[in-house]
Amino acid sequence: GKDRIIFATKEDHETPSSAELVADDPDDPYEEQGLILPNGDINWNCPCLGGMASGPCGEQFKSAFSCFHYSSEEIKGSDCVDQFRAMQECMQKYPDLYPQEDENDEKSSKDLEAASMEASAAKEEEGSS
Amino acid sequence: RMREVDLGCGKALLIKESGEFHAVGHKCPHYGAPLVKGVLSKGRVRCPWHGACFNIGTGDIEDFPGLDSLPRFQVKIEKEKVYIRASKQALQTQRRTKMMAKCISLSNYNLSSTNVLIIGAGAAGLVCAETLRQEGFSDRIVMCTMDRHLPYDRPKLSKSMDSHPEQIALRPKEFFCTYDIEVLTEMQVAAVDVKNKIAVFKDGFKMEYNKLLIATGNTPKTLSCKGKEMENVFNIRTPEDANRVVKLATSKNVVIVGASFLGMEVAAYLAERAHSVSLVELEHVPFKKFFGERVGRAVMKMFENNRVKFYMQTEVSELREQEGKLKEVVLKSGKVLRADVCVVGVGAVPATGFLKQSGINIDSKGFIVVNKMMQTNIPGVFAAGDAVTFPLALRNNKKVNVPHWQMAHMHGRIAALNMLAHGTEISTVPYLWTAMFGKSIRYAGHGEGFDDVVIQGDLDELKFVAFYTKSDEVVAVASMNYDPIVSKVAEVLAAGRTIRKRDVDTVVFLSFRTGDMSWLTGKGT
Repeated sequence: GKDRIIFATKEDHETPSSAELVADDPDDPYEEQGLILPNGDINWNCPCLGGMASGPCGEQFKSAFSCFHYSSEEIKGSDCVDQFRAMQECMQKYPDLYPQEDENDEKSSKDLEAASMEASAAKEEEGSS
Repeated sequence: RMREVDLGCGKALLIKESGEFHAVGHKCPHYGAPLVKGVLSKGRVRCPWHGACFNIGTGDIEDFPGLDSLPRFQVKIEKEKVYIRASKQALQTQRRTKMMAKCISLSNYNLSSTNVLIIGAGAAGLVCAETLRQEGFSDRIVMCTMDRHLPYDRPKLSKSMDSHPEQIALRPKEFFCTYDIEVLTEMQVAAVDVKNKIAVFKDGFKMEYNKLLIATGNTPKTLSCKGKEMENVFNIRTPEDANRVVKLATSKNVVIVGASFLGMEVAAYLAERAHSVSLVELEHVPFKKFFGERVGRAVMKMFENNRVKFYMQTEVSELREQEGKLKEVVLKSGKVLRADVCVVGVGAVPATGFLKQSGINIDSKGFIVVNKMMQTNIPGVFAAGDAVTFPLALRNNKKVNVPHWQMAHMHGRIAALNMLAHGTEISTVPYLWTAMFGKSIRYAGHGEGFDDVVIQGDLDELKFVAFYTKSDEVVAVASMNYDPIVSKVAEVLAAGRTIRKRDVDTVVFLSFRTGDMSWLTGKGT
């Protein structure tokens, strides 16, 4: 099935910002640290990772993401299928932390959207306002 | 950090951010999208389908499309349990129309004098009027339009061509009475006297104003070839145009000129209903300028699989008639197409001709020039929507024209706030969508001038995301079946962050599809 990961709900004292990716100026000591540290290492504390580097599947995530990040394959990460699978299997064990989306859910969402393009469905949404 | 919870007679969206809980309506008031599948960032949730944004603390709409906000529910934490308290009505309607003032000076008004005059009753005009009332403005507001109808959902004209005006009305007519927003239909402004603050209508009627909003939108271009005046050749500008085309096209031969948003959507709608649908286009793929060649080609394949025929790298040289009605469309390539109906979607020009002598600053393409507060060069005169060119913060305040539904709403709101001297500057990421054959392409950003496209996913399967880059920077993103990546990127860009080309892979990885490995084995890049 198609899995969908949202960020695990845990206390997050850092300013949550999935917008922090790479430091604009790696030489600037005052620059907030993004995903990649000045020495090129991955910053596992980056808020952009949404806490996935910790928790019960943290190790699997780190393994998969490291492999992905350093992958130089034409389709980046295509040499990391094993690590991804291990991460996926782990996350399936904790559906409360890593909600899974199944194919039926995705299909019904698409049908709902297609229907909303037709006038009558939208009118229904408008209610009797 | 977001979860849908069922409260019996309706659902709520429970959100945890920065350690705090919030609860709001779970469905987007625009078209009913499940917000739990959207993107949460910095105190707001962005809808995955068309990009509307809602404040998680208040439920207020902050970016568009849509007119209504989310209802907000009370959250209480007691002994490690989260309690949500909500009114049954709010849970059932799942929308909240913001409180609005009414007009208190009706009794002593002069018929031909108003405080606010809004020329144009599209999205920009309507949101301007509503925003004024939401902010407590209680003086006279008059909207005038050349159209026959109260404001309607324009994107539906090419996606749901059979819709009647009442079915796609943005607000019921009672709404306008209740909140004293006067709408004068079939009224055309011929000139504006900015010195004396008077709008002069075609029929001679004159109206004095204090503040003016020009939101007249675009006029579709017509063909310039021989026979263009013939019957059964249409632009799609009004619901009547769309309805008429469907009637004439059913079981007949349709030729559509122009393979961009309008042409493609109309072709998709008519594909199952017409006997034949042919698309004529100057470029060699549809959407080439907007989505690029590879995405354009993938979309073209979908259309061809649905019996639509393309005649590319050519244009119409002549329209031929029989007994006064369209019979054939002749192409420059020599091909002659049997045609009972012709739909023309070759672009549009701003409807600003009437402002030529006004003194209002108009650029060489006819767009009204405004600043970040939607102000023209004339004090008290604002402009919004398709007819406007404005500074886009996303592109270093370059002046751009963004003729799309979301932007028109945002312009209307900003104009209203500045009519009330709030000093609010526009700060938004353009967001648009196009829907064909039950599938949507979502787009955010401003891709004008892109020099490269990085694609992840599978184009053949129409499951992809495309990043448009200029030099090293991502300027826009488009996707099909890859939700909520476009909303995610829109939020990154809205926060003022730059996404470099080399980070694209990471953005995709982190946005959601870590569990779905199909993009690894797919043929995308």
